[in-house]
Amino acid sequence: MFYVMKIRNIISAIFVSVIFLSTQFFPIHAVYAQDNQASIGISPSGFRYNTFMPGMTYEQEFTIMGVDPSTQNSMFLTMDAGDINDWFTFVPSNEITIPQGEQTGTFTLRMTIPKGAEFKDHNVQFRVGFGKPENTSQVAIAVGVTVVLNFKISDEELRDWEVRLVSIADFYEGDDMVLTAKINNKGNVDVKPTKIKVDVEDLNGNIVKTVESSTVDEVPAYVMQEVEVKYDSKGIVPGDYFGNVTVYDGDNELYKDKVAFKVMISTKKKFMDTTFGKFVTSVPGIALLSVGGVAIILFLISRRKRKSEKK
Amino acid sequence: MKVKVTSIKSIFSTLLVLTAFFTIVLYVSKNVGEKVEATDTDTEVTIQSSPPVFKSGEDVYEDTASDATTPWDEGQSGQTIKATSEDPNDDNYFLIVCSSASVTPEGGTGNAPSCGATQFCLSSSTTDETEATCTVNTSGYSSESYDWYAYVCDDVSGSQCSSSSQGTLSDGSESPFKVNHRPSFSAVNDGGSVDPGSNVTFTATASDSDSDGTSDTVKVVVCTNTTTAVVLGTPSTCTGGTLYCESSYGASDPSCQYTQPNPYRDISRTVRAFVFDSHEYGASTYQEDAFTPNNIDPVVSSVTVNGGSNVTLNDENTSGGITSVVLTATVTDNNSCNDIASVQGFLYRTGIGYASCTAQDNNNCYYQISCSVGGGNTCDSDNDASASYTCTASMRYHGDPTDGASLTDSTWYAETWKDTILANDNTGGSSHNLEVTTGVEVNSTTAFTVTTALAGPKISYGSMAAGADSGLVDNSDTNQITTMAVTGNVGLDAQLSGTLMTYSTYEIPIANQKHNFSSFTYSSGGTALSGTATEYEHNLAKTTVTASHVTGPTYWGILVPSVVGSGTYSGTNYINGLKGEAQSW
Repeated sequence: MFYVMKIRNIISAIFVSVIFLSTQFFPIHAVYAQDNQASIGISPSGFRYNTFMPGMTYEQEFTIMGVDPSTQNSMFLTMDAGDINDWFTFVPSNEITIPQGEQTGTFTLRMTIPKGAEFKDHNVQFRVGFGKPENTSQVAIAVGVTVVLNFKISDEELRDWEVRLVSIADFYEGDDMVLTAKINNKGNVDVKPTKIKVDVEDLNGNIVKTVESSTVDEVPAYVMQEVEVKYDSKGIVPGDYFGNVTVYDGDNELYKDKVAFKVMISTKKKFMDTTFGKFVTSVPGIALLSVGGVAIILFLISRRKRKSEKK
Repeated sequence: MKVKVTSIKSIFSTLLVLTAFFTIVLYVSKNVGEKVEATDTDTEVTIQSSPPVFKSGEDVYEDTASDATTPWDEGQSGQTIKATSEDPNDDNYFLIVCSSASVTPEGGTGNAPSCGATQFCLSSSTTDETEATCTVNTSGYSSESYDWYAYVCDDVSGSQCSSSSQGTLSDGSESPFKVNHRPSFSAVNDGGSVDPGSNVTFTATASDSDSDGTSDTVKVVVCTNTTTAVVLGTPSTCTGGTLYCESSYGASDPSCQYTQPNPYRDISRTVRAFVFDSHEYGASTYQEDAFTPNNIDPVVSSVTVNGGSNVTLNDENTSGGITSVVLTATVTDNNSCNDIASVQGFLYRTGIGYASCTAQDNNNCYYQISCSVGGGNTCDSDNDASASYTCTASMRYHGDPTDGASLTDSTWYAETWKDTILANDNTGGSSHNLEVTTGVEVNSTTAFTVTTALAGPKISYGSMAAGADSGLVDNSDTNQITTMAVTGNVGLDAQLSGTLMTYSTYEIPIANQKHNFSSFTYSSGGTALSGTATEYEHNLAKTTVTASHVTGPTYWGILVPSVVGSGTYSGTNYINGLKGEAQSW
């Protein structure tokens, strides 16, 4: 026992030494081997959109980056918006902690515009920086980034949207065909496609089915989100297909794309094609299963009865 | 029970008595007969040999019967003619079948007869009144109909033959026997390559000249080249292989169509064709043909870039300045996904475009990015037409931004980033490319690094007397220079501000510090520092060379107040980077 403990201690010491030495020769913060540097970054560098209506709430995510990962970093967010400072909120808070070992952190800037906001242009900014460094000699250099926000408050309705991509997921024969469209609403009003049409084309170039739907969810202003549309796939047998997708805005063909998808043999049909599957769905099979089921029920009932009689 | 046993006993007794009685009766009657003795008398008679005849009541017939509908196949053995002899002398006999009504008894070997013309067959010596079988071998029988005459001849010295018989029935088993010949078959061809999913037509050069009754017709059965034999049926079966197609019967040159599956590899396949006549008699040999489906160009679809989301680039100090941007697509090939040789992605700013993205430029063109199968749709087999591909572009920190609303925000604010996926299949020159429909934005990343000569980072004005200033601040004053390096994808300006420098209760005002983006003499140049972040047009350009980021110095100077305590003063200067006007990048 004594020798086991001694060996264990030796192994532990070697292990710790190796780890210590490796951090000296292979510093974790390879980028920050120098103490005479400080860095920071932020993206994006402003608001993506610049026209907002009174009463709107707009949110945009920002990513802080480039900080020294060898230490935990506390980032302070400061809004400089003058008399509209109270429109802005940093989410989750105006202090972002980036853990040691990481170089990036995200936050959301939420702008809540009062309903009675004046129609005017605004130029505000916010800063992201580190706290005041501890310094007892010379002049410490503290770095930060400033993001300038130029926007205007207006009642002008801007209707502008695009489809970033569409896809049709593979599905089993008989199931619905589900199309997903990623819609980027670049305007300040909610939008949705008028309809989305799909011409289903087989590998021989034949259009086997055309479906369309106008049942599409709205996408809020200045939001990019995915919407799903379901179609009846009856008549589309297992195989490889192309979906020639057309997205309409009114009568305008706003977006066209060609996407590929597969229709797979349904698991139900696969089961039905097996010998067992064919049996259980045949008349003798159903009869046998029914009789068997009744027999089991009767057995359980009689067993229960006997038990209660014994008592 | 007792009653039953009693009755069984009485029955047994009765039987025993009766058996004994009759035994006695038989014995007595036999012996009484035998007891009469006869007187022996010798007699003699010579019986002459008489010719056999066809046994009455027994048929003379072909087995199997041959007629115009079901003839015998030429070259096949096993066709027989049968008959039964009745010989008055009970002699064994030969059944012989001739082509004419002429037979010679003992004309053959031993007592066997021979035909005056062609001998179709001769049976072995057969016991009288036992059916004889005479096997006809039709090899070389070029006509379609042969009259036959059957004789039975006794197998004795001095053999005699019956009169002829041409069959006793009227069901086709009587003379003549019919002979069917093999169809001629010299070649099979496929009519040239067609696309997967289309029909390839196999045509056999074949015919049959038999016309007895009705003219023979021919059909072709096309199988894989491992087939050893064909069993005709509905459909026919290729033994050892697989059926491609079979035709119906026709006068000549039968053809059938095989619908090529889709997908279908564009490789050579050899078929083996078999021809049969309307009596299901096959040609003497099969013929082979090799066909190759057309190569079809691959089709690229479902192209995406970064999942349709805008790209946020890492700065130079994050993840080595690399941001992975994923490009995806599905490639479909009607010759199967295994036909796809390579897939590449191209990522570019739309102002460059796919056509001009011909060499790697980390600012605006990521060229020939290798793609691999990934994303859930794998290439499972030759029966699988499509696979999904993923390509990862390692975008560098200084990729051109395309966000913003004007030229001030970005030189390329009106553009986006798109990708094109190029798929090549294994047939040279067969390819397809498709560009994503809608591009994405690459966001502006405002990022920088400040470097000083002193660790901290810090600047130091050194040791100065009260009332003195920095004088000329130039490159030799390394401790008074902060260097700003652009590590994002935009040019930079700077906001500068500072705090009081303090020692004990003494202070040096903020404005006593001055800064300039080039060397300056304190007394005549530079800009006083403010306690409020103030923007200055540093106009550092956007970095365009990956390993060489743009840098710009800021020189710092100070004026020590004339009345101030001696000691080491400290303070903090703030350098905030902000995106510069794109016109100045």
